Amino acid sequence: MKRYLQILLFCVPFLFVSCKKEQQSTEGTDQQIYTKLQGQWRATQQSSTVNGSPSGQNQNFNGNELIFRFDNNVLLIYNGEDKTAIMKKYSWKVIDGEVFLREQYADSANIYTTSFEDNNHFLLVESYQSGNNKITVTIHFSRF
Amino acid sequence: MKKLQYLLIFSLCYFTACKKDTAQSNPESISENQQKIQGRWTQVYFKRFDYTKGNVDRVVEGEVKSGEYVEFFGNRYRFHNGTQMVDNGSTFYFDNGELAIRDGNTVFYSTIRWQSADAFIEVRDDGSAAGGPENKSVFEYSYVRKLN
Repeated sequence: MKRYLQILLFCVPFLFVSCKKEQQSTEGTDQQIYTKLQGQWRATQQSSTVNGSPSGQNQNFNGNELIFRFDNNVLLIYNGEDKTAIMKKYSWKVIDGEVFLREQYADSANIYTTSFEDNNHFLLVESYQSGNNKITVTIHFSRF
Repeated sequence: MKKLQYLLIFSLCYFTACKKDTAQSNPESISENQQKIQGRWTQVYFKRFDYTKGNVDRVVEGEVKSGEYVEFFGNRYRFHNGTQMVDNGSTFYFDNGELAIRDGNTVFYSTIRWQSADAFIEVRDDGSAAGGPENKSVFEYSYVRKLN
């Protein structure tokens, strides 16, 4: 009996730490993405793939053509050439590593994934099925 | 032998403790709405409120006799179009009180108003479709629990 108690006492601290880590890992990743996205970003390029192969339809953006501004839980998308005119307003959040963007007054949200090249460059990726084809649209952003 | 005992007890503790944590950290598993909405529901009535300049200027309503019904099972959402069950791979959960149905990379939100344990009204308000809340339509779909 004493031996079993010893084993249990030995296990408890380790279990507590490892389980807490498991529980917090997803939340930690979400918080990292949320923090990294804060600020103003300029779209530089949009590219797409069909079933993993480049579609060849790339679009380069001019300097201020498409601006994303993540401010707490609000995302403003506007054309930088006329900063007074906000094109669209969204609420956003990160769940399980995915970014949910919901336009103001909308009853739906679109889900994206992100990939950070470094603190000043990230990719916003939308993937969806169209018939038998898997389409992936990637927008490249740089911070400014 | 002693090592094996250590391993067995450790494994038992680990899986018990972590499984419990995972379940508790997942709001879906403890959502009251999630529990209440389990089962099959038939749409029986709808109302549509048309807004113009912020005021309701028209209400359209009627019974629904299409035979369509929806099914909430676990975190799966499916609908039956009257002749066959359509398995569209959707899942659902409740997000800040709103019903959220996820189909692929899109989540559709609506509000559930419970009438009783066997009846609810689903409210869909997409103000953005008409460019804002001033001119929009709000749909109210009444569901009752399907008996079979």
